[in-house]
Amino acid sequence: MSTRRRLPPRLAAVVVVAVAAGTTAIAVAGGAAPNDVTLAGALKDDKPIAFTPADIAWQGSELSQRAVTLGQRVPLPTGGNFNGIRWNDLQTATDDDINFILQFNAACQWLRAAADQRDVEATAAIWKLIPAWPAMRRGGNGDVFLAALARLSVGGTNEASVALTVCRESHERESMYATGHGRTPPA
Amino acid sequence: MHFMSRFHEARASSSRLRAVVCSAAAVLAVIAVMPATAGAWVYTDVIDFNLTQSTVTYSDYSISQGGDGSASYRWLDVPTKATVISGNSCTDGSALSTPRTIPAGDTNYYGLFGGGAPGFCFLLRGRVATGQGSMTYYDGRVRR
Repeated sequence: MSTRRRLPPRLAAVVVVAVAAGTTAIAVAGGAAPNDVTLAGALKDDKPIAFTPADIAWQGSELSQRAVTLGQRVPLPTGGNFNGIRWNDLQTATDDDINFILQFNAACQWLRAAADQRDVEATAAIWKLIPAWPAMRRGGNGDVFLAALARLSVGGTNEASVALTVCRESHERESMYATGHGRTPPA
Repeated sequence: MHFMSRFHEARASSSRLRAVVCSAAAVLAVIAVMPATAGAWVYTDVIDFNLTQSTVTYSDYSISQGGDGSASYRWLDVPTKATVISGNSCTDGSALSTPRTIPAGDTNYYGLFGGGAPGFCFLLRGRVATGQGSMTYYDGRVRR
C-alpha cells in the first residue's frame, strides 16, 4: 500500500498564500514529495492511457486544479515541479491527457537529474520504475528514455541524446513560462 | 440516424478498397508536395478520429528520422465539417504552432508544426470548428 506524503512545508505555504490572496491564478502545480519511490511504484499499476473520450473534460481553472491533484501522484527530483506545463494551451483535457503529460514531463525531469547527477540514489531507484508508468508504456516511449539513460553511462561521448536535448529544451520553455507567471521554475 | 448501422458496415467492408485507392492517391499527393531534401516519411492512419467542439487527443506520435522535422495531417474521408487540428508537446503541453483549420471537403495535408528533432513526441489533437456540432467515424492520416 502506497503512503501519500504531505507537501513539504515550503510548497504548502505557497499554496496557502495563493488561496488567501484571492487570486484566480492557478495553485502551485507541484509534484509529489521529492524522490518518492513508493509513488513511482504505485503509478505502474495505473490503468493504461488510451486517450478515449471521457465523461469529464476539464477546462480553465478546473483543468489546472485537476492537474495539481493528479500531479501529487507523480514523484519528481528535489526542486522539481510542474509549474511550467501550459495547461491552458490544451484548452480542454481529460484525466488521460493530464496524466500522460505529467508522467512524460516527470520522466524528462528525472532524465535531466540523471544527466546532472542530482539525487543519485533516488534517480537510480526511480528509473527502474519509470518505464512501467502508463505514459511510458505507450508507443515505445519508455524505450526512448531508457536508451537516453543508457547513453549517459557511455563514456567518451559529449553528444546528448535527442530525448535529453528535447527535455532540456522543454525545461527552458517551462522555466520561462513559470517565471513569467510568478511561479518557481522546476529545477 | 437509423441507417447508421448499415452505413458503418458498408464503410468497414469497403475500407480496404478505399485504403488502396487512397494510399495511391496519397502517395502521389505527398510526392507532389514533398521537399526535395526529405527522405522516408512515416505515415500513420488515424481511424475514427471522433470530434466534438471540445478539443480531444487522438494519440501521441514522434517525429521520424526520415522526414524534415515537420508533422502534417490530412483527412482520408472527405470531412463534412470544418475541423481544427493541432499538435501539442508531450513534455509541457504547449501548442507547437497555431492550430490549423481544415475546411469541409478538404483532404489535403495541412502542416501542424515544423522544426522537430527525430524522436520528438507530440500529441495529435482536434475538434470541429465552432458551431459545427460533431463529426464521427472519419479517418485521417498523420505524416511525420
